[in-house]
Amino acid sequence: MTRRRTLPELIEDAVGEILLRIPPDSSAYLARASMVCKLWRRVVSDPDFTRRYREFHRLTPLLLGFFHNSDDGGPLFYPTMPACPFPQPRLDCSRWLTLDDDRRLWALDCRHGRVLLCHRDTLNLLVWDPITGSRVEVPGQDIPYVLYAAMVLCAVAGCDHCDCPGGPFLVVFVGTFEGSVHGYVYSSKAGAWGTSVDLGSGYELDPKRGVLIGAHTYFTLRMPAKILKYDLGKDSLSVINLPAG
Amino acid sequence: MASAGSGDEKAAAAAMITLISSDNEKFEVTEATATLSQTIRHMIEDGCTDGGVPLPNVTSKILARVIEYCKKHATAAAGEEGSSSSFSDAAFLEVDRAFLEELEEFDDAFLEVDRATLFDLILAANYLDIKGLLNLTCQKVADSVKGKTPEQIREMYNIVNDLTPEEEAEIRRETQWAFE
Repeated sequence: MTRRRTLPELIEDAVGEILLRIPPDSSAYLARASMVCKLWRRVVSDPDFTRRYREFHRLTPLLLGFFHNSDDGGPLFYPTMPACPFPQPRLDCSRWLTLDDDRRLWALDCRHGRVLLCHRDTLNLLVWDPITGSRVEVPGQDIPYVLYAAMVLCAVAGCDHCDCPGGPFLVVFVGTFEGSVHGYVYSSKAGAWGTSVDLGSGYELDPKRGVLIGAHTYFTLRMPAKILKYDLGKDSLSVINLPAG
Repeated sequence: MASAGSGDEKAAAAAMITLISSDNEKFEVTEATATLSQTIRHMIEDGCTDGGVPLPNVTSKILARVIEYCKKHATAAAGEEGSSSSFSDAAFLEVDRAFLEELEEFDDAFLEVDRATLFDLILAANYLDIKGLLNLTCQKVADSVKGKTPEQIREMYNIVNDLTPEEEAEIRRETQWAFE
């Protein structure tokens, strides 16, 4: 026999059933519901609810918008939904870094609830949580890399990365200087970059977004055309050949 | 279509179950009606329905409405099964559509209740695990919440704002975009 359940428990369940059916046409509806009372807030903030909500409405994660790097003075972020948790109408990124000019930032990566931005002249990095608005500055490299790529990763133990709660993060940086490829990992816990790893000379990085698979990150090399693997566990760089043909 | 199961179905349909509300009122319903509730279905399967099924979370007023819903939907389900053997496909589709329309009208009329009753129906549907009724009633509330401010939602459903000013300020900061 199932245990007889108490009334508050039933009410919490029932509120969950109601909020689950709030139409997903606008992401603002649930956000507003979260401000009704403690119970509603608790229900909506439960990661299990978020998962059920996606399943109920058969949602793939909503596309809130996209970042577009350009030199033509256009906005950095283009929202695709009417109510969007990001600042409107454009990101005025120049205010975020304590710089005395208004040169623009470049979006390098977007992952695990964070956006990695870069000031192109100083290579100073900025990790931004667009939902909470929190911004953490990460010092750039001393070496003036011209070709580089970077990735931001959630470093919370046990996180499934479906709804990263903020907290510690890593930044993986790879860059080419004078014909060799170097890699670094920044840990927000340590507040510092680790020692660099080296691939040796004769390579040139393709400055494109990398991918994360398991504990490894992958970037592309354009000279010669190969895949660069950064093993975060072993802290080493290696090269994977492309399939023949 | 063979009707091997129809004898059993008739026997099942004839079997009566007694439901007892929190205020001790007794309701006699057919097993077909009662088993729209998964909670009661499990009780029947476990053989714990002799002497009636006490439902301490459901008042007689609400239980009467719940039974009204279950009767209608149990009849609809039985009607669909019966019609499939006696009509051609086209005629069946016609009947099916008429059934669905009638059921929809019934559901719409069923939802014409005050908000307190609607919420009680949700609690009952959740407790008794009646999928269709839960979906119907919850969707009605969810649709009414859409596009409303937190203040309007509280007012509509008589919800007390128990958030501290600090919590409220924090949520407002996090969700400012949703209020622009």
